[in-house]
Amino acid sequence: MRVLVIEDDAETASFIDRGLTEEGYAVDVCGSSRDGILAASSNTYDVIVFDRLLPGMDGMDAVRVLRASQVETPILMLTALDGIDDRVAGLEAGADDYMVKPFAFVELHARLRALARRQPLVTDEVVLEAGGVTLNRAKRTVIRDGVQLELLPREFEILDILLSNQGQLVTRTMLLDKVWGYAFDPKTSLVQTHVSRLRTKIDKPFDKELIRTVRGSGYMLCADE
Amino acid sequence: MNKILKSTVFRLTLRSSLVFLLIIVCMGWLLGMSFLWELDDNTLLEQEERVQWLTEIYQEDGLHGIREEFGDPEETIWDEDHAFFMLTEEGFAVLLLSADNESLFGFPALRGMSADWTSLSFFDDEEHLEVRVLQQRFSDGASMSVGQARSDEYFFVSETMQTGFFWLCVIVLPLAIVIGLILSRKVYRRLNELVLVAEEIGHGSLDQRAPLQGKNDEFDRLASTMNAMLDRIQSLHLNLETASAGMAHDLKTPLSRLSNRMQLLQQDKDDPAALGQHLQVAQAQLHQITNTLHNLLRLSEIESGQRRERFIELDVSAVISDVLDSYEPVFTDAGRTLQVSLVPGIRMRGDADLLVQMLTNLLENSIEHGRPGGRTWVRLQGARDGCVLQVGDDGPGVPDAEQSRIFERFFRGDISRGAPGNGLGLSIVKAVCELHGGSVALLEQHTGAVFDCHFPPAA
Repeated sequence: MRVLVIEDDAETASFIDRGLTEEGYAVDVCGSSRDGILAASSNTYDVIVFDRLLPGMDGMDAVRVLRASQVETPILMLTALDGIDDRVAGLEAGADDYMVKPFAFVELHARLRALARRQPLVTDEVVLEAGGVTLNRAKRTVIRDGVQLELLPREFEILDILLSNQGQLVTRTMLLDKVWGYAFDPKTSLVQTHVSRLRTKIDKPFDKELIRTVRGSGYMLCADE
Repeated sequence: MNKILKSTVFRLTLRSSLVFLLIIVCMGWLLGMSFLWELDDNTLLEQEERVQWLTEIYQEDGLHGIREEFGDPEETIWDEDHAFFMLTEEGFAVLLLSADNESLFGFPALRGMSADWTSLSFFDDEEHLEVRVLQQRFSDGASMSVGQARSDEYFFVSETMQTGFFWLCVIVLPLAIVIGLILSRKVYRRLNELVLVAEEIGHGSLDQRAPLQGKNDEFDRLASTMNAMLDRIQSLHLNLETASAGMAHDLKTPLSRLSNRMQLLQQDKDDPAALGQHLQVAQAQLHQITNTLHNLLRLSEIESGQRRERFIELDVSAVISDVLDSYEPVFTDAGRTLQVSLVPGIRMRGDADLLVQMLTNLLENSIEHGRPGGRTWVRLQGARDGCVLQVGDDGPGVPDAEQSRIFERFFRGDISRGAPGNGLGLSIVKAVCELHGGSVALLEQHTGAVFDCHFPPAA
C-alpha cells in the first residue's frame, strides 16, 4: 500500500513514516502543501494523510484544490485544531476522515486501512457478508446461520462498520465518530457497552465468536480461522 | 482653578450667557428703536396739524391773525429767550417770512433749517434742542416755518436704553463668569470623584467602587453603570484567576506524574513487565492532559457565543431521547436504573451537538457520583417560558458548602480530585445552557443531585 504523508512537523512526519514503513507500507513525505499537491496529482496513492496547518496554504484549501483537479484518493486530515465545526468543515472540503492530534498510531493505522479499502467512486454494497453473518442495508436485517437477529439501530450500525472493515481493527473512537457522531470523548464506556450488547446477540448463541476485542484499542471482526 | 476654567461646563455657561445677552440687547434695541420711531411719527403728525391750523389763521386774518393767536401784538420778532420758552413749554416755534424773504413774525433762527432733526444751540451753547422745521408757502408769496422740538420723552427713553444696556453688560458678564465657575466646580467635583476611582482601579485595586450620592442624577447613573461594569470585570477576573490556578493544577499534576513515570521507565528498563505497565499508565496520564485541554478549548469556544450563528430549530425531545437510548444500557451495566419521562415534540432553537454533550455530561456526572444501584431520572417538559430538562439522582448529592461552586471551572469536590474527569463537565453544561439563553440550577433542599436546565421557547 502506498501512502502520501503531507506534514510539515518533522517529528510527526517521521513518527508516521516509521510506523507505516514497519507495517510494510511505501511512504512518501512532503513538507508543504505545494509539494503535496504536486506529488498527489503526479503519483497514484492508496491514501493521503494531510496536515491541516501547513506553511503556504491551509490544508483545507489544498484538499479542495486536489478534489477540484480530479484526485479521488481517500484523504485523512490531521489537525491540532479542534473546534466543534472543524471536523464538518474538513469533511465538506473533501477529506474522507478527520483526526485530532495527538493520536495513537494504532488509531491512525486503523483509519488509514479503513479508508484505503473504500474504493473511490464505488457505490456502497447493499449486502455485507462474513463468517455466516449477512447484513442487508436496504432491508436492515441481520441473519446469522439462517437465524434472523433483532438488532437495535446502534448495534446494527456497529455491525455494519465491523463488517465493512472485516479482519481490520476498528477503534473505539472510530465507532464513536461514525455511529454516534460525537465529537467529544464520553467518560463512560458507551462504545464498550453497545458492542457487548451486540455480542450477546450475534456471538453468544453461536459456536464461533466473530467480534474480538483488541485490548486498549478497539474491535475486529474475523470470519476465518 | 485652571482645570475649572478649561472645563466644558464653564465654557458652555459662558458661551450661553453671552448668546443670551446678545439676544436681550438686540431685542431691547429693536423695541426701543420702534418706540422712538413711533414717538417721532406722532410729533410729525402734531406738527403737520399745527402747520395746517396756522395756515388757516393766516389765510383768514393775515399777519394780524397770527399775532393775535400768539397773544402779543407788539412783539413780532422773538428773541432767544422767548423762542426757547416756546420750544420747551409749548413744543414749537414759528417764523413768518414775507414774499421778499424778510422776517415778519417769530423766531428768525428757523430760517433755512431742514425737515430733518437739527441741533439748535441757545445761550452761547449752554442749552441744546433738536428741532425739525416744516415749511408752508402761501399764495401771496409769504411763507411760514413751524419748528418742532423733540419731546423730552424721546430723550428720556433713549437715555434709559443706553444706560440700561451699559449696566446689563456690566452686571451680566461677571455674573455669567461667577455662575459658570460655581456650576463647573460642582460638576468638576462630582466628576473628579469618578476620575479618582477610575485611576485607582487603573492602578490595580479592582475592589474600588464609585461613590453614589443617592440623587439618582446622571452622575449617579454613570457611577452605578461603572460599578456594574466593575463587578462584572472583577468576577471575570476572579474566574480567570481560579481558572488559571485550576488549569495549572490540573495540567501540572498529570504532567508531574508523567515525569515520575518516565523516571521509573528509565529505572525499570530491564524489566519488560514493569515497562509495559509504566507505558500504559503514562498513556493514560497523557490522555487526561489532552482531554483537559480539549474540554477547555471546547468551553471557551462555547462561551465565545459564535455557535449561536449555527442554531437551528430542532426537536429537543427527539435529540434527548436518542442520547438516552444510547445511555440506557450504560446505566444498566453500571447497575443503575434510568427513568425517562419526556414530553414528545418539544421544539427549541439550538445546537444539537452541544445539547447532546450537555446531557451526556449530566448523565456521566450522575453515574460517577450517584449511589451504587441507585436511580437516575431524566424529565423533559414544556414550561410557560420554554422547556425544562431535569436530570436527577438519588445519590449523596452535593454538600451545602460546595453547591455554589460546582459550576466553576476546575472545581471538584475535594475527595474526587484524584478521580477521572477534570472539573469542566458542569462548566460545559452551564456554558451550553447559557449559550441557548437558558440557565442551569442545582435544586436545593433535595436529596441527591437534581439539575434543572431551563431553555427559552423556539420562537
